[in-house]
Amino acid sequence: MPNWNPPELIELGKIELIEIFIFYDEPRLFSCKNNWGQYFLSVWVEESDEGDVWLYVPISKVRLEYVRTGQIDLRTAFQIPEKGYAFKVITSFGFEPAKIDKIQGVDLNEDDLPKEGVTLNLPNIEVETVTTYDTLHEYAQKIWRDIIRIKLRFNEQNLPEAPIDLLGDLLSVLQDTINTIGKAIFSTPRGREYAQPLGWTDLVLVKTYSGSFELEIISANISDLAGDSPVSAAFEKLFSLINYEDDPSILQQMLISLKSRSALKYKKLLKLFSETGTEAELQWVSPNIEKKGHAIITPKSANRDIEVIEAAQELYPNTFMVVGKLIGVNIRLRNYEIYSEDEQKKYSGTIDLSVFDEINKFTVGELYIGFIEEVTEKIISTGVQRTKYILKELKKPPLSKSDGVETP
Amino acid sequence: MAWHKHFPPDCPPEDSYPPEGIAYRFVKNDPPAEEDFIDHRRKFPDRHFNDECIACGLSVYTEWEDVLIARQMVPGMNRKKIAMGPVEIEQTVIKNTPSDTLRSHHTWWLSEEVKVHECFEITEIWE
Repeated sequence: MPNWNPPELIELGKIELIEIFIFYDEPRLFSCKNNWGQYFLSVWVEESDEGDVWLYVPISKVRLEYVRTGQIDLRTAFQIPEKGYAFKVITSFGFEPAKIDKIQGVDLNEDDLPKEGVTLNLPNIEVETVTTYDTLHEYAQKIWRDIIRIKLRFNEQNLPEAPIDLLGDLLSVLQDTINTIGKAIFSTPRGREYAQPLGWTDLVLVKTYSGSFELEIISANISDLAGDSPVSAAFEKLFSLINYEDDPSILQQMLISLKSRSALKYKKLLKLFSETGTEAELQWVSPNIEKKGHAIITPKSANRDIEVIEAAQELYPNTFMVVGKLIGVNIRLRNYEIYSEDEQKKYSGTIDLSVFDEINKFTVGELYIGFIEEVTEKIISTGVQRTKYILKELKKPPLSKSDGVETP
Repeated sequence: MAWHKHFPPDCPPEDSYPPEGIAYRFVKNDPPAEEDFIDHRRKFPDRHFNDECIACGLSVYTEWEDVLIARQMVPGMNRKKIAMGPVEIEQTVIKNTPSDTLRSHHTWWLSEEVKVHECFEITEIWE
């Protein structure tokens, strides 16, 4: 690939070409940096009457490496710039100096961007470690993904190494737990996932630090424009499960609000810590500045939480909790409908006889806490599986202190 | 061959060769016009190019797949039409000048007399 001089761009500094990704009569997609060390990713947008139009997006070296290796797609690199903005540059066909305008990433025209999901897939050159950045959060914003760092201690020792079988199990169960929590958050009561494609909660291991054995894991997919993602939502829930502040009823309530499968997976994760004497310090950040978490799991805390989960499972074997408005009751068919505004979901099914006897106590249009049991049946003649959602309990939500009554 | 007068010495390079097969070029006009086949040295006579010889050549792709990738990655190329034609034209030479992204990029040098735009026609874009 030839040497090539990028155009003179006085306001952006003296530009030096770093790498050409697409050359066509001249570089059309390339990285460059100015004399102050600022890197840019640049792409040719169109040929206008005034001249050639380009986008120059300021980019850190780490993020550029993510773009080079295909971990961030080209469109995202321009549309969600680290600094929020890009430069629209018009290089004239004549002698006029280039015209440069700052433009917010969100204001960029769709047609001026690379196609969605298109990535470069070049071999890795080098990646700086996160220690070169002020905070892990800044790093998450650079790569626009969630990051979780897990520091592990095996048998109360800080070793620079980790047993493969245990590490493998740990990573596998963590992924399972995040998948299951993600599904519980983003699915309807009938088990259908809500517009979340397969693999949307996938995690990838990107680095290990050997000082005391530490893993760096990131979400496989980039976050949305607000910095949120299903992985963020699942980690937020996982961290609230770990940090439930010593009140078992809070943990039980949280587990009930998820599907029973989430509780089983979380219990499996905790068992790994309790049975192997492993400790973990977890730190999670997302590109959204408000989403983050820190938690410590010790064998002792894992054991305590397993007991709470088991008690919850005895209480409600396959039950999850819904807070919502009772929007319909059919006495003849013994059916109910509850609508949760928080989740924007409608739950419906059969009313259990124990609740049905008291159905007159409840008013359609009012807010309740419903406990719904998920029962899966297999029709032997057809082999088809059918899941039913039985309303096992319905009660008024506790009044808050702001209502002038002590919370029970 | 009578190369354009603006070609620097030793251009086209020694390792260029007579072309064969077909190639694709991004163009503005339908049917392709002479202006679609003007090299950068002629298009920007006052601009400084580090590689003068490359600036005197024309970019073409020989693989359709690469044309599609270029369109997807570069909005300016997505806005262009695609002309297809034979490069097996006398008084021209070609050289494979690939990037890591698009391996079928070639630089094509034309002699003064040749009017290649007449051999090219716009092709439909099938993805």
